[in-house]
Amino acid sequence: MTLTNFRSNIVPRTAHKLAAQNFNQLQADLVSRARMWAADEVRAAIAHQLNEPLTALLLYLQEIKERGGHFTGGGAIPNSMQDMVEMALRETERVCDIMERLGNTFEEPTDTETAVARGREAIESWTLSSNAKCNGYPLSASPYTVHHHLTPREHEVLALITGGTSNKEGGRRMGISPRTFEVHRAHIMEKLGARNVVDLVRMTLSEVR
Amino acid sequence: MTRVLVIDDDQSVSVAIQLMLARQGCDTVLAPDADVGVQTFESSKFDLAMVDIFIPEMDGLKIIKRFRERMPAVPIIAMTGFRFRNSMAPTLDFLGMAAQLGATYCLRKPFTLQQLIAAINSCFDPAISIDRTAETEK
Repeated sequence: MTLTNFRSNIVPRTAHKLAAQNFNQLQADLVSRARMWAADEVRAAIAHQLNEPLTALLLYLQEIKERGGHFTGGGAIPNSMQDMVEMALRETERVCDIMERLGNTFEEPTDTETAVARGREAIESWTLSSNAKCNGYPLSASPYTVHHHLTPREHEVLALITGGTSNKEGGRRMGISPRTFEVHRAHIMEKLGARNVVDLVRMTLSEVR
Repeated sequence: MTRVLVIDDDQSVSVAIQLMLARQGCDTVLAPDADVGVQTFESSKFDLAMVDIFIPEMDGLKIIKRFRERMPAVPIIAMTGFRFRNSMAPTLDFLGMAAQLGATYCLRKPFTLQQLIAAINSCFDPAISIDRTAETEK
């Protein structure tokens, strides 16, 4: 085989390899874009579904708040009831605010990194600047922020608990006994002042936000 | 009495609107889908139509176009709970399209009672508009 023949064999192979690499990269990009597209569609669908009951909730609560007396035969509704309506209205408005912010957050990102960065930015700015409250506490003063005082091990346990994992399953996943898992769980609840798993989930969501 | 037609497949929203408008002295008729909505609108006299853009069978945009062509004097409020833009491509601005097709006012869900009343007021001549403040003071 001459040197020229040898080269003519090599070049096409290199080109083929490059083309294969480009093809793989393109395929990966397409999959990534398809996933982002699907995520957007899901988010839009969820938001669309949530905005319907939110509209009804807002209208009902505002009407009850402003015209409560008419619904009870003309008498004033008790203060305690008015407080509850006020709180329910505030919580509903909070959810509306979240939906609004989510919509703004994801307005024009063109890639995953930008979308994630904008998400983080929005969450941080919202947590720091808004006067949104969590169960009546300003977010900055929320007792839930003691979440940061958990040990790394307790963070792991908390993630499993809030994910719906049982003591037995949690212990198995962490390579510890169910009893030890339960002890971690008790410490976490004591540190966070949680009464039950629902409280823990709420606190975790509050932290994420 | 102001007659309002609400075309929305979400009953929780349309019933809430009906209740709110009843207290403002409006007679509100509900249509759960496009067919009933179009039939009701064209067989009776209404002062205002509220149309959700995403409803089964016929989309709200087509309804708005049809209403505008057949009853150009009746104000139309377009509503939608869809608001997210897709990160991969520009999402259609449905409320903008509704306005182009002749919607008098566009309401994004969720909206407040005040926003609903403001929307309705903006559709009418001030002389016949419903006014919550004025009514409350009676």
